[in-house]
Amino acid sequence: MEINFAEKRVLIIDDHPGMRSSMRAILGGFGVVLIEMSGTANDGIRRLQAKTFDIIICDYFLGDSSDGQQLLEQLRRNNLISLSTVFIMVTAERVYEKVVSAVELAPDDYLIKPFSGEVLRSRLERIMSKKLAFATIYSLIEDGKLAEATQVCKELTKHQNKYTIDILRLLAELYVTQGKFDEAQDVYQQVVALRAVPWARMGLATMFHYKNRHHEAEELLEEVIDEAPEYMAAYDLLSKVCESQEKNDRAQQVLERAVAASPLIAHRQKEMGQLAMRNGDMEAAEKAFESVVTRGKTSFFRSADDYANLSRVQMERGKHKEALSTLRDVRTSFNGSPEAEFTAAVMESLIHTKSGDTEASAKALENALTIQKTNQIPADENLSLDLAKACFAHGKDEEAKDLLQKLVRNNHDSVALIEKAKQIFVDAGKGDEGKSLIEGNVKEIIQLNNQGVMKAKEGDLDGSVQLLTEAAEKMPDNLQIILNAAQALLVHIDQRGWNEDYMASAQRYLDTARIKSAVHPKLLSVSKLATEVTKKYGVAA
Amino acid sequence: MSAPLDLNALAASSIHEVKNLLGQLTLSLEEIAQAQCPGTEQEVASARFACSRIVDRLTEMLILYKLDGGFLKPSIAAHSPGDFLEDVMLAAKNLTAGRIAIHLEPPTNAPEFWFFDRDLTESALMNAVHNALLHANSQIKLSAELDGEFLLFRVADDGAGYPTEVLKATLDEPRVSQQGSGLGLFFASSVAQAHHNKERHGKVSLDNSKSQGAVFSLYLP
Repeated sequence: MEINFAEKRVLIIDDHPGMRSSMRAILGGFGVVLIEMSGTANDGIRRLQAKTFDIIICDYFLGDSSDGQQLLEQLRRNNLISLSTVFIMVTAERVYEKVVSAVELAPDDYLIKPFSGEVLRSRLERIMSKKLAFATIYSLIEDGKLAEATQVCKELTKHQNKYTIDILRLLAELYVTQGKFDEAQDVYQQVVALRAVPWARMGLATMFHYKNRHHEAEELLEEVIDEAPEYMAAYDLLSKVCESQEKNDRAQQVLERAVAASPLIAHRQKEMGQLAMRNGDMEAAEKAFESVVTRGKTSFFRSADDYANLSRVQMERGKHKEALSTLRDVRTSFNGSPEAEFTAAVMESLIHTKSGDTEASAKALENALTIQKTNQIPADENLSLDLAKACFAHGKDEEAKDLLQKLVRNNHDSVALIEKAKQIFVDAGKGDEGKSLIEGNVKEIIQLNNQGVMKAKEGDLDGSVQLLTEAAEKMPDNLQIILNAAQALLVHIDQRGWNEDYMASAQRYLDTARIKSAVHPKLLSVSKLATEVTKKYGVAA
Repeated sequence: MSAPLDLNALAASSIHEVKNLLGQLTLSLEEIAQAQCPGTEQEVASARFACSRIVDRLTEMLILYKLDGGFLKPSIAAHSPGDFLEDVMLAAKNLTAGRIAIHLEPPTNAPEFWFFDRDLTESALMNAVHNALLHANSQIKLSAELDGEFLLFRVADDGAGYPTEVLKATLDEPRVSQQGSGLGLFFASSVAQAHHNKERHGKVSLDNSKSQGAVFSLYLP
């Protein structure tokens, strides 16, 4: 394919100045003129935020703070580069070949140094031809038209060509995103039958996990790790599978192995911290959260939540001074954003109570409540629980009850959360009151749910829709409620005829549910229903 | 006294370092080539060839070191044999400056994709290309085809062909020779064997063509 390189914008990311200028010279050799260069991952991210690039050439080793693969994953997850952007990894080592065969988000290609300009040019041309072949699918995906994208992929797999395996991978991923796990499983199996490549086996194990076939998932993952010990995502999944089977110690051990192998990956350290905390291993939890915060300081993608986790575990271990210092850091690190202020204030209130400084604690609590009232703070479960604790400590019982009630109503089927909420009442010396309040709320929601479902069964479809959509508006975070509301709307359309507004509401509930949990068992069946109903009326999805 | 030196590990890390230095040298050569000083094409090409042979030989050493330790596993992924061979051709062309013509045979029955380790296979084929560049009269032919349950890559030259002792020799162990090709062939054979699919393993075979020249064949299951 002939490509006009003169009009392509290229970003070179390499920590080695000599390599950057060599790369610029090589690119210049075949007509690239629009070149920018970055010496660090963060500088690269800033440039990518400011401007669109067609091609990114990134070195795998980016000094101490990050590597090219981490950067690529952050860029894709945060949608800083589109599917049509070319990303090429460059490496001096064969090591990356191992990494790339075992990642979820692979670059378009990678090159081992040294290479000639001719080779780079030929690779770029090849990737661009491929992007062209995939252009229709990419634009459908970016427009959110997943069903149509799936259809196009399926068509393309009918005739074998050099992209067949890539198309199958994309098809499987599309099915997963749409919650169609059976279909995704079929595709992964199809690839494994050709060759048991790690990503396909990993995909298969993920499907087993989603379908609660834990033993099969575990067996497959053990095999993958045995053959490809560098496949880090396999450890993450195996740890989750162990947890699902309540083998918590084993889950932590598995994750520890992965953390030891790649201590730089923040999301894994975070997972490790939470798991260790649940297992009561506070020392390991502190170590993990500490690492998340320390590494996050220089990272573009960091969250106040990481600091809350660290201060929480420091407080649990009686390290009040350190915990307060962590909270001072969250303020500076986020320039006093409302979210950071709120996080710090909630935690400070609890810590001051523990260290006996009631006055400071009361002040911090006032601060937290004011920020919450004046700003839209996203409801983080742990922070809400902590805020409720602080309210009780200062006799603000009504606020505490209100917070806990809201949490319970939005998560009435989460056993872990209900237990935590009950414990907070117990600690406040209001165990009985809490128990009856919580159980009353849970019961009410279950009844509401049942009534809605019952009405539908009795043929009162209007009544079912009304009851459940009202409940869904009141409890927008309750997965079960919103999925039942979506179902009621869809059944109504199915039996009483097409209704544009109903379909829009149902889709909105489904989207919310997907963001909250892509693997809720009910999500599958309701999604399927939506597709069927749409098909029935011949409306384009 | 401190712990005894681990000479193997030391050698491996030195090879690593030298290889990276050569990488930088190659990039500098690339810049010299781009300056296009008249009359230097042949010199630049032979400097590139020398660098490339050294880098490739060191890479082979490192890979063999890992193979021997038992921890080298090929990274199998789907690749287009046609595209792959094009890369090999470009790398080969870069080393001859037009002295020897590199032909890419049109794929007759090559599969659209095949599962193999692209980098290991490229190292193995480049080795054969180096030999061919040293012995060819005027041209080298590269080809890919489906042979039963194997993908077959061929590198053929129009030189004098392999000497009888090379044709007779087993490739299962390194053979020390003045030209150095013994280690390279052992390496290629190791790479082929590291590829396996179900019960089938890859292999290398050496022949002399009926008309003229050496034919190197790499079979991947």
